[in-house]
Amino acid sequence: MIATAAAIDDRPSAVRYPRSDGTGVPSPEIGIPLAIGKCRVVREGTSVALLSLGGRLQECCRAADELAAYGFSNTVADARFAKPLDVDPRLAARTPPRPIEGGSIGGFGAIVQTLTEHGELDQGLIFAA
Amino acid sequence: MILPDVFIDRASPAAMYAEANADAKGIVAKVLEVLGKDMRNLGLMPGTSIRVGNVFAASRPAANLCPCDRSIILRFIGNITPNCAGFERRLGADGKIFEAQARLTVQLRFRVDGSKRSGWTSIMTVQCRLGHGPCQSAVRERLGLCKRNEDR
Repeated sequence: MIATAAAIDDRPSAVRYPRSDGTGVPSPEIGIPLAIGKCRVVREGTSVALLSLGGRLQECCRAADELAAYGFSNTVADARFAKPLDVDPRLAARTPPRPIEGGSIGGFGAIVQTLTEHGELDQGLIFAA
Repeated sequence: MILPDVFIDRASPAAMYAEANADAKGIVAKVLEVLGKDMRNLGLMPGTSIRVGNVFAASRPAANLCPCDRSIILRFIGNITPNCAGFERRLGADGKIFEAQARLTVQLRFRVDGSKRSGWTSIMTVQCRLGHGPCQSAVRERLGLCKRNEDR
C-alpha cells in the first residue's frame, strides 16, 4: 500500500494503518503498486461469495472454512478498494455476495449494491449487505 | 455486514468484533440466515446422526454399501437445503406438510456383508425422503412436518 500511495502523484492518497495485531504475510523486497480498483480473490467457490473490505478478511476466511464444513463452496475476496469498485465476473457468478466491512450504514455494502442498477447482480443471486 | 450502531465497551479487538457479530461465527450465522437455511434451528449440526427413509439419489453409488436401503443411518455433514430444488414439501388437505425430500451432505453408515464390521463412507450428497420412524421425529418436528400421514 505504501508503494501504491507513493505511485499516486496526481491526487491525494492516505494509508490507514491497523492499530492491533495483523496477520503476517510475506513482503516483497521492493513494494509493487497495486492496480487501482482491483480486488484480490483469495479463494474461489461456487455457492457463496464473501467480499471483505478492511480488516475482516481473516475472519471471512475462517467463516469460509466453517461454511465449507456445512457443504457450501465459497469465494472469498479482498475488495481492497471501495471506489472504483471492481466488477470481477468471478464474484458476479456467486450467490450470495456478502460485503463484510467495519464501517457503517451507507458504506461499502451500499456501494456494491449500486451494481444492481446496472444488472451485474441480476443472475438469480441473493445479495445481502 | 457493518458495525452495529450500539455502544460496545472497550475490550480486545477480537472481543469487540465478536460482540458486533463481525467475527467468523457472526459471518457464518449471517450467511445461513440470508440463505434461509439456518440448520442450527433445524437441530442438524454437522456430526449429527439421523435415520432417514429411502435414499433415492446419491452423488456416488451407495447401494452396494448399504444393504438396508430402506432405513439407513446418515451422519450429517453439510446443510439441509429446504429452499432449493432438491427439497420438496407436499401439503396435506389441511395445509400441513406431511412429506419431505431433502438433499443432504452426509456420510453413510455401512456394514460389510457377512460380518459385524461397519464404517462410514466418504462425504457424499444424497437425496432422501424423511420417514416417520422414532429416530426422525425430532427432525421432522423441527422441519414442521406431521409425525405421521394420519395426523393430516
